[in-house]
Amino acid sequence: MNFKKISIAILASASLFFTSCSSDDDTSGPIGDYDNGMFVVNEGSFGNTPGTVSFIPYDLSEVKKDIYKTVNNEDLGSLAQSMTISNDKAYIVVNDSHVIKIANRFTFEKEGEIEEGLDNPRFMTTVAGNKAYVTNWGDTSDENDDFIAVVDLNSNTVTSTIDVELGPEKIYTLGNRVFVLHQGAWGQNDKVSVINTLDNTVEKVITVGDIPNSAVLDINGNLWVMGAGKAAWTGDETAGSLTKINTTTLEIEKTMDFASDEHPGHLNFYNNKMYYALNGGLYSLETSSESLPTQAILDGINAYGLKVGKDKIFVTDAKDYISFGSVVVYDLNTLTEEKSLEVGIIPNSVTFNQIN
Amino acid sequence: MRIKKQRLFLSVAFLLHFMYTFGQNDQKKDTIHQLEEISISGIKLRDFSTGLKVYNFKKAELDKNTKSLGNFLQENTSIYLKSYSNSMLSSISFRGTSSSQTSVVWNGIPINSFMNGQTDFNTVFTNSLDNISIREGGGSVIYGSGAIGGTILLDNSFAFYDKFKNEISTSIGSFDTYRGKYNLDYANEKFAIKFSANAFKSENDYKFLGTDKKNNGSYEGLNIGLNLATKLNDHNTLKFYSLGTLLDRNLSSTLFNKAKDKQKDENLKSLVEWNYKKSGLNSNLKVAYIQDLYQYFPNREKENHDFGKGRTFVTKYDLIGKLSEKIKTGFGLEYTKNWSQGTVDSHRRNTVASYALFRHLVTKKFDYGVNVRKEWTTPYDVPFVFGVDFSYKILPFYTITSSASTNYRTPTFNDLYWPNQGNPDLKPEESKQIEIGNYFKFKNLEFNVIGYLIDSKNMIQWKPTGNVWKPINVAKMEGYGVQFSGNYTYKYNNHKFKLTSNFSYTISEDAELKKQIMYVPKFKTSEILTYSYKSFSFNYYFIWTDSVKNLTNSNQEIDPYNISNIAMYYDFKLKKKQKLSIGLEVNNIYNTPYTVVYNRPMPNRNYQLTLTYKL
Repeated sequence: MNFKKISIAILASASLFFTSCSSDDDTSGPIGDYDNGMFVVNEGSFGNTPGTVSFIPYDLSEVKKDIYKTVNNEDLGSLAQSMTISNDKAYIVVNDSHVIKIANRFTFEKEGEIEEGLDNPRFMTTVAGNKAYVTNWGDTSDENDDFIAVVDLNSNTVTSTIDVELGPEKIYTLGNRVFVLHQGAWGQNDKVSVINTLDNTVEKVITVGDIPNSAVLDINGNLWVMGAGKAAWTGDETAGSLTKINTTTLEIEKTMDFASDEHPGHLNFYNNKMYYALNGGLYSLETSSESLPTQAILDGINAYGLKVGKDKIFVTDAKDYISFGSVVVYDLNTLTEEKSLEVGIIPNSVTFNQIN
Repeated sequence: MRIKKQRLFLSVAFLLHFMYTFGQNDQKKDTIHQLEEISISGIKLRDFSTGLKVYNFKKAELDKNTKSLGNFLQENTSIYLKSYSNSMLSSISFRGTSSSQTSVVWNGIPINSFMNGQTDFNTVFTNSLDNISIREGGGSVIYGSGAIGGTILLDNSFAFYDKFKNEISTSIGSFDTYRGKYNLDYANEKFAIKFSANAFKSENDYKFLGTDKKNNGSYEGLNIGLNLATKLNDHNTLKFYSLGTLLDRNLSSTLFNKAKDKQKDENLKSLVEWNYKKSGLNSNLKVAYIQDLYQYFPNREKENHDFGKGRTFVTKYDLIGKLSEKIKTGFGLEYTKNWSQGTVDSHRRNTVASYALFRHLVTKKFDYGVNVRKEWTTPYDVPFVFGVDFSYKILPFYTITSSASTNYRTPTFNDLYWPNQGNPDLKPEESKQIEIGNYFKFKNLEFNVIGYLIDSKNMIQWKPTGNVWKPINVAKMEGYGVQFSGNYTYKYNNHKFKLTSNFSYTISEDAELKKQIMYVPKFKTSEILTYSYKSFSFNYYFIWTDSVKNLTNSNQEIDPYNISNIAMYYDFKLKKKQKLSIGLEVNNIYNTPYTVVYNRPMPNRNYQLTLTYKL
C-alpha cells in the first residue's frame, strides 16, 4: 500500500496547480497581524510534513512561515491545496485531509472548519458572499464520482452536490454562474463546466484544449482558459492552448494553439494584460492580440505557482519538493529580481489578503 | 519416485486424519531426550561468514511470541523498524540503510518483493518458523540483491526421531483482538511433518492519545505453514516447505486523515529441496515458487482497486564440500525468473547468478574466508561482488572478527516500470562495507562490540524531472556506526535472571547534504530483563528510539520515544506431557503517546491474554 500512497504523493506533487485569479483592490487599515500582505499556500510533503500557510507583508520585509499553527497551535492537515478569501475569512482547502479550514484573514484565528461532505477537495469559489462551490475529485480510483460541493457559508455545511465530469480543478464565479476547469485529476480532461448557481445545474459543458489548468476573466467578461496540453509521458502529446470563451453566449470565440511540445500554465490577468509561464519563461499578451508571443519577457523562472499583481511578479519555486521552497519576487516594470524569500515546503500559490 | 509420491500423499492424508482426531490421540511420544531441533542440512552457507555477527532466535521463543516479526525484532534487537502503525507496513533499516537494502531469505530463497524491493515485517509471523537468524552486514555474495545492511534468515528445520507434539493456543486482547494458533510437529525416523496455522482478527481501533480520534484500521488474517521431509536413505532427503499468508487490512488513520483505504495481501511460497549428503559433501537442489499479490482499495466500501502480482521461480543448486580437514569450499548456481502483472504491467526478468565460497580453518582459533559472486541479467549490469572475512580467537574469552564486502541492490520493477514514471535505464545500487567485531564470552556474561563503515553509491531516489517524478541513480550515502549487544545471566537456586542489552549508534548521511538521512535514528536501544522461577517467567522490555528526521532537508523531526512492555508466563503441568500455559502481555505499560512514522500514532496501553495447551 505504501508504494501506492507514495506514488499518489509523487503524482500530486508533479501535477501543476496554480493560484486562483483575483483582481486588484486595496484593503483598509490594519486589523490584525496578517492584514497588510499576502499568503503563500505550501502543500507540504505528502506523508512527511503538514501543509502550511506562510505570510509575507507587501514590503517583503519578512516571512512568517507557518501562521496557522503559530496562531492556533494545530496543523492544517495533509496537502494544503488552495486558499480563498471571502468577507473577513480565509478558507484553506486541505486536499488529503478532506477538510476546509476557516481562519480570520486578519488574525488567522481559527473560526471553524468544513469537514463533512468533501472528498479530495481542490479549489473553492464564493458566490454572493454566502455560498461556496468546491471542486472535489471524489474517490481517485473512480472516474465517475467527481462533484462540486455547494457550501452554506453561514452554517459551514455542504448543502448539496452537483455531479460533474472527471477532474474538476479551478473554479471561478461570474454573476450567477461558476465556471469549472476539468483538468482531469490523475487522468486528462478538456472540459469547462458552466454551472448555474440559481438552480445548481450544469448549464453547459464546453470542450476546450487538453488539460485546462488556469483561467482568467478579463474586463470585458470573457473567460480565457489556458490548456497545458497532454504531456509527452502520456504517449499522446498534444499542444497547449489558449481559449477565449464569451461568458454571455457561452461560445468559444477564439483559440490559439501553442507548438505541440509547449505546455504553458499559470495564466494571470493584471492591468489588462495576460501573463503565463512556459518553459522557464514568463510571457505576456494583450487580450486583443491575435497571436501568441514568441519572446519571453523574463527568463529563468521555476514556477510551481505564479502571481502577477502589485506591480510585481511572484514566482513560487518548489525546488526539489522536499526542501523549503521560495517565493521569488520580480519588479514587473524593470523585470529584475527584487527578493527571494524562503517559505514552506512545496509553495503552490500566492494570495493577496484582499477581497477579489 | 513412486515411494516419494506415496510418502507425500501419506503425509497429507495423515494431516487430514490428524485434524479430525485431534484431542483424542494416543500417547505415542518421543521418549528420547534430545535437542528440540537438529539441523540436517549439514554445512550451511552461513558457515562461510563467521566474521559477521549473527543473532539467533530459537523455536521456543518464536512459539511464545504472538506479535508480528516486525514487533518481535523491535523488542529484541537494536535494529530500527519503521512501522506505520500497529498492523500496517513495517519496514526494516539495518545500519542506516534503506528497507530494500535488507534481504529476507526464507529457507534459502530470497523473498523480498521484486516489485518494491522489500518485505513488510507485519506480514511475517514467527509461529511458522523454527529459527530466525539476523545476519548483520553485507551479504550480497551469498544472498544476492539487497543484502547490504543485513539479512534476515527465516528457516524451518526437521529432525528425524519419534515425536508427536501438538500445541493449540488462543489469545484475547485489547482493541477486540482475537487470535488462534495451532502447531503440529510429528516425526519418526524416516518422515517429519510440521504444520502451523495462525488466524487473527482485530478491530485495532485504539484511541490516538490526547485527541478524540481513533485508529480506524481493523485487520484480519490467516497464515498457514506446512513442511514435510522424508529421509529416502542415509544420504538423501527430500523436503517440501510452504507458507501461505492472507491479510485483509483496513489501513490506519493518521492524525490528519480518517483512512478510507484498505489493502489485501496474498502471499504464497513453496519450495522443494533435495539434499544429498555424503562424507563432507553436501549437495542441495531447490526449486521454489513465490507468488505475491496485493490489492489496494482506495475506498473500503467500493470494489475498484489496483493490484500488483509478482511471481518468482527460483532454481538453485549449491554444492559444498571439504577439500581437506581444513578447507571448505562451495559453489552455487541460481536461476531466477520474475514476472509481474498489474499496475506495472507484464514484465519479465531472468537472472542467473553464480557464486564460489572458500573457507580455510587455519587453526582452531583462526579461520578466514573469501567469497565471490557474479550475476547476469537485463536490462542492467550487476557488479561482481566479493566478501572476505576472518575470525581469530585471541584469548579464551575474546574473539576478534573482521569483514569487508561489496554489495548491491538491483532496481525494483516499480522503479523500472511504474507507468509513465519508471526508469528502465536504472543501474543497481552499489555499496562497500567494512567492519570489525569484538566478541567477549565469560561465564555469565557475553557481549560484543562492532564498528562498521558503509559507503553506497548510485542510490535510487525519485526526483522531479520535468513534470514527472522519476527514479534515478543519484544519491551517495556515507555511514558508520557502533553496535553493542550483550547479556548477563545470574542464577540463584531456581531463580534465574537474564539481562539482555542491544544498542546501536548509527550515522547515515546523504553525502552531498551532509545530513542524516530520513528515518534513521542515531541511537536505538532495547533492553530485556528476564526473570524466571520454576514454571513462572517474567520479561520486561524497554525500547528507546532517538528522534528521526522525516524529511532529510527540513528541520522537522519525529520525537524520540521510549516504551516498555511486559510479558508473564506460567506453565501448569497437567498429566503426563500435557501442559497448559498462561501468558499475559502488557504493551506500552506507561501509556506513552508515540509515533514511529510522522502523524501515525502507535497504540496506547494494551493487554493480551494467551492460553496455550501443549501435548
